[in-house]
Amino acid sequence: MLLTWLIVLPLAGALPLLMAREENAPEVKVWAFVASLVTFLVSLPLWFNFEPTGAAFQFVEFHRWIDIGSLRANFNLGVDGISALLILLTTFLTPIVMLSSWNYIQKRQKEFYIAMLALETAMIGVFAARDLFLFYVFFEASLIPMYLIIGIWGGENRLYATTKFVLYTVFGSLLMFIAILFVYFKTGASSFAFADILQGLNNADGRILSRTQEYWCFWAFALAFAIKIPLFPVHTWLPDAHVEAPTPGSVILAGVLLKMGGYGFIRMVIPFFPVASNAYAGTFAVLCIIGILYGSFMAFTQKDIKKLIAYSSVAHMGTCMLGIFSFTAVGMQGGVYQMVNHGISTGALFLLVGMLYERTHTRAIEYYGGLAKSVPALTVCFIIVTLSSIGLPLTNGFVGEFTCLLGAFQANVWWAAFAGLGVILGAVYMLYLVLRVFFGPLLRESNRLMPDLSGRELAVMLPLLVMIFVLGVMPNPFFKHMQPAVTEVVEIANAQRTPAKPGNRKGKINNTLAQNSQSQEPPASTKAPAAPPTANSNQPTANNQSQIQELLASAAATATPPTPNSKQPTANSQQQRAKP
Amino acid sequence: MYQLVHLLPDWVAWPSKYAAFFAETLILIPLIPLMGFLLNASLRKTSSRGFSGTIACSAAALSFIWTFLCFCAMAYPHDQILRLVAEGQEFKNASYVAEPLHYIYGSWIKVGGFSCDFGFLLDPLSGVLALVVTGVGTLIHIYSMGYMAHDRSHARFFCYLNLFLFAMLLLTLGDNLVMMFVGWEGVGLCSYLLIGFWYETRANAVAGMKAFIFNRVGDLGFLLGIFTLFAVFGTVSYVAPPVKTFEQPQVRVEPSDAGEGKTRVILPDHPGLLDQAKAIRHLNVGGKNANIELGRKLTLSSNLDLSKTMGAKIFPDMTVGYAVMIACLLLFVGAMGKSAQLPLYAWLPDAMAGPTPVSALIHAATMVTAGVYMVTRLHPLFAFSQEAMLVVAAIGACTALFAALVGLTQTDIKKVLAYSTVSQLGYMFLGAGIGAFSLAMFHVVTHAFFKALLFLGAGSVIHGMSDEQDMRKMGGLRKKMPITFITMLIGGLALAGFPFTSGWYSKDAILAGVLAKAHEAHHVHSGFENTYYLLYAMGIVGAFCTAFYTFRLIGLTFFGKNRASEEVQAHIHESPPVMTVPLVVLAALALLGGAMYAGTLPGFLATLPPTYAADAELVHHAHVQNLWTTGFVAFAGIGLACFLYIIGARNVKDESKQGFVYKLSLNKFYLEKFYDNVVTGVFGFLCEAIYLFVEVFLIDFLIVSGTAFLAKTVGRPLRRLQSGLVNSYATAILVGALVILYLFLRGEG
Repeated sequence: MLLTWLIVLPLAGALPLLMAREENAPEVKVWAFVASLVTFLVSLPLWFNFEPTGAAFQFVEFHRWIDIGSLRANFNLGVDGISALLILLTTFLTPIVMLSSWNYIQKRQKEFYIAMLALETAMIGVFAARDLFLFYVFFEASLIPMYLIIGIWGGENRLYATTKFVLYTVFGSLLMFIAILFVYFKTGASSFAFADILQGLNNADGRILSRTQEYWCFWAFALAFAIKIPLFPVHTWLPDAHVEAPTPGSVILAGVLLKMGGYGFIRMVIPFFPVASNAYAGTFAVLCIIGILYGSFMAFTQKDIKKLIAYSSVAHMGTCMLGIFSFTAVGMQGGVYQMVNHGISTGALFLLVGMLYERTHTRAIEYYGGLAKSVPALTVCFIIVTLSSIGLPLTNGFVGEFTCLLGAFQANVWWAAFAGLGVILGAVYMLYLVLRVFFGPLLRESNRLMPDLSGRELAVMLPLLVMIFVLGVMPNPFFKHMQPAVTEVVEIANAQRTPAKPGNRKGKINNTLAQNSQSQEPPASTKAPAAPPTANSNQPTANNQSQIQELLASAAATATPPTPNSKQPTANSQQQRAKP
Repeated sequence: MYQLVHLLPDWVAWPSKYAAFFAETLILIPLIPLMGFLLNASLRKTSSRGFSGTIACSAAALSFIWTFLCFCAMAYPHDQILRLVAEGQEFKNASYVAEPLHYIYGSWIKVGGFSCDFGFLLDPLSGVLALVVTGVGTLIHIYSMGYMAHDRSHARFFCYLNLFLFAMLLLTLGDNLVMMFVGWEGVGLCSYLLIGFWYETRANAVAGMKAFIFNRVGDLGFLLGIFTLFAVFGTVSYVAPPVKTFEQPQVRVEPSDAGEGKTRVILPDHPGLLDQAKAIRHLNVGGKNANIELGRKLTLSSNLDLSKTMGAKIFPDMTVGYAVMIACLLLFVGAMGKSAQLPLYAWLPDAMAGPTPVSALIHAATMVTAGVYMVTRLHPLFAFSQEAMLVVAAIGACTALFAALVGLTQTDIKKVLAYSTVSQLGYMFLGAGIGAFSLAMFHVVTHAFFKALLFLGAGSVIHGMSDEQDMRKMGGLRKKMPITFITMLIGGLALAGFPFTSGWYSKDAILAGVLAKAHEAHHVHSGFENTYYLLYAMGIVGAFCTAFYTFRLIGLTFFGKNRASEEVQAHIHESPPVMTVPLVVLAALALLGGAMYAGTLPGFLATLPPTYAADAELVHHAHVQNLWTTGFVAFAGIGLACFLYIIGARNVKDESKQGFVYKLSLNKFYLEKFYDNVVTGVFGFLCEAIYLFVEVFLIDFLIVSGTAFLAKTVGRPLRRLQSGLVNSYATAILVGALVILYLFLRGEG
């Protein structure tokens, strides 16, 4: 019942607020904060009682919901290591956000907190759903409160921003909805449960969907989630939404909503469409790398602090997705880890920018300068969070970036080399920001008397700072939690690495397992010599070729014979390898 | 294995009785400064001026004491001494083996096949550097109490200084590459914070940022180097985990059953990078080192199995030697960033914006030598590849010469020393590049003594001259600041390579090594002899410049008439004892530190391979030749500078009247201007252009708004359909239904 409680609690907390009046604002704030805090406390068993032993879902709940003809969607909840972490991130950030909006939100306070609590329900629902239909309902439901939060409590240009945000997202998710229905009816799955659909997609003869169908469905899903993440080039809603959103909105947007995209890729896109995912992994990796570099360039040139951080989000999420698209155990775990990190670091950055905004009512970088003198505590916090954001060791950012890049390196050396430039560029734009805002002479006399962090603001920052170091110093418990679930996804992805004959597939799984398993274990099989030579000469194997060649090969589809160019090095390497 | 000649008393052997205890408490060495940092940070607002300094100094001193005890426990194994005594051998002349302390506290990152431990390794190499870091560090902490006494942000300064020690000791003592990287970035952070310590001046903050970004460029190379090594060897640890809590298992070579003269290499369990590298060297497959395909299981060795790693998948058709060469070059990019080598040196001169003790500790004695330490630490890997070593040597020699030339004309006292540091680091890499790793480390140690001394002396001068750094406004200080003068003179002699000072021993040995290497290359006709002779010539010219600019500095500062304003002159005073005592201690070390060469230090580092040429006669020959050359060059440089600036009492002439070569040197060959103006300008313009063209115009305007516009345009005529007339709706419905019906029927048919 824990997950149901988690979903219901925030909404239940919002109910009494409906009856509150505008003059009850102080009580409303306290009530909303307490409701979110209780939700956080209730969510703690997801960490402490979680058994990180298998990939199976835990805290499972099942209730019949829709059963009309062949349409069977159920209220089907459960978490694995990935979703448990993301739920905890949600419940951890929400009370902090509530506390941060104390003075920030001045108008329609009651409605604001109702929207926030409703949003929390939707977010938890997204990560707890084990049913595609239910997931979609929550996924779309989370749009409504966010639409209102940006549209009502946002900045000057809020209507443009919020419309752009919703139209972008809805565009993607409608395509996804069509694909959901298509997949459901095509596979004849017994319900919308992830497991049923996954089972339905593979039968004894192999894949149910034809290659073309799978590619179309893949793109429909991938586009929806890519917009959410957001990946280059469908990212332009994000800077506008962030700039116009009120601080709490920005924090939740960056901290949790973007993660739905990454979660969608791991939970749905890759397991459902592994063939297409492999075919387009290179495309996505290149988009991620462009996103990293492009986001960094854009961040460097911004004059608005929030816009700068928004573009840095594009770069960071690019790193996450690159780790995920490496299809290696290290990279994918790193990707999930980096999602959590990004929620904490970027959330903290938005909070700090919000605190500056509350004091000066401007986000223009040029307005600041030399603030370190007047607000030392805020400066220290900002610098710590900056360091975490640029991935300094012993902060969370390093562990995430390191593992993502290592995974990318194992998939393709050049991915890591180019994505690694983000490590340099991240330092450039963030330290340049710190320089312009906090260092140098005090530019404006009015900033001299700027008050430093209040007790409430310290309370907002402290949990985040603690988590920055906890995640940076002790990453192992987190990795241990997500390991089984991530490993399963990696195995599914790698099993479809090459469009091999059914008989051959088993051997491939063993290979990839051996490569991803820990180095202490003996290898399952010696790689190349074990495969029959005939198979090798017909089909370029993944192991011996660079990713790009492989993509070319698989994109050309099995029908056309591989070109002599791609064939020859394979044959050579086989011969060399076969020598004792 | 580790031949030790003992000049130290008997009691140094007692800590080794408790070697296990010291191994378990290795963590205290970095932990004590961290505690000092946390204590100072939390008491920042309340503590009085002296208090924060005292905490920081005690933390540094305690850490030094602990390092010393651990070092003794490692370097003077009690059991072996007892055995030697029992065998009746004379204690003082006995030779025995150092026993590295290695302790793993637990796993730090363990994710999907990658694992990295949180462990510490104190062996002769890391031990020597840890002693220098904590020892020189403590002296500089003490000095800082005097130097920073009048600063408002006293406590913040000592916080950063202790944090730096923590990071530097992690870098030094960590037992794997990732730990080193943690320290590596950590010291970079402290450097950033301390260069920009007086952040209210924008230039200081910019200099800090510049240092961080230049280092980050190198760090990317380091990171990719780690990835490559992990791909090849499947581990990031240097050596195998310890057995029985701390004892370090070694790679053994035993005769094989296979046949006469064949050997079998036995690796410990879970061999580290260096273990595997050593084993591969022993195996010597295919006549050439490491000419093995990646992903092979080597049957000649008991435990070397590269088939478990991902190397073959990531680098298809590549030999181990080639992959390791790539890794070494990538790692060396990291070293270039941290140790300020061409072309990534430009941050170090700007780093002088920080307080002078910081320049002494971080930007001269310890942090900047981290690159040399890294190359030395990984020497079995670098030794795989002649090409990688040559790159190291060439970059080192170029930097040594380049920075020495720039140092000739600088007028800021700290800038002269900064370029001299860059130049000396170049010598260290030159030494490492020819395979003389122990000499490179030896130069790290002596350089730490005399360069820290020179910086602290310069700090004392700046302190006495009311924060004046321009040598054109100094002069004649020897009478008013006698202790500073004498100690700086000693430091200057050591830097200039005056015979029998510490700097002479180390630099001379490196240059002799280069010459021997060149002779050797000449004898075996390797084709590199001209390259090595060229490197040697560059080193010699650099040495001449070094001697010259050092005594130009001494002459301009301490001789002639004082050229400062009356007001400043009235205030000139010798620094307080808290500042001069560290100077005296360092002066003694700078003067006598070279004695270690004859005695202990290269002995400690004897695990490092016997350097260059195997032919002893060749080495001796080179040594004698080199002795005359370097001696002549040092005297010539010192003599010329003395003639011009001490006897001639010259001041620096007006820049505009100088020739082209002089301006080239003064303007650092325009390289820094290129970075500051061209690179940043182009980057900024590019970002702005992409933002306006791609983001705003192409994506947002053309595509996003374009779609909206399209929808609007298409929607406008369609809106007419919504006429509100029921008749037209009914017609439309009828037509639609008919169409659907037709489609259905066609589908049935």
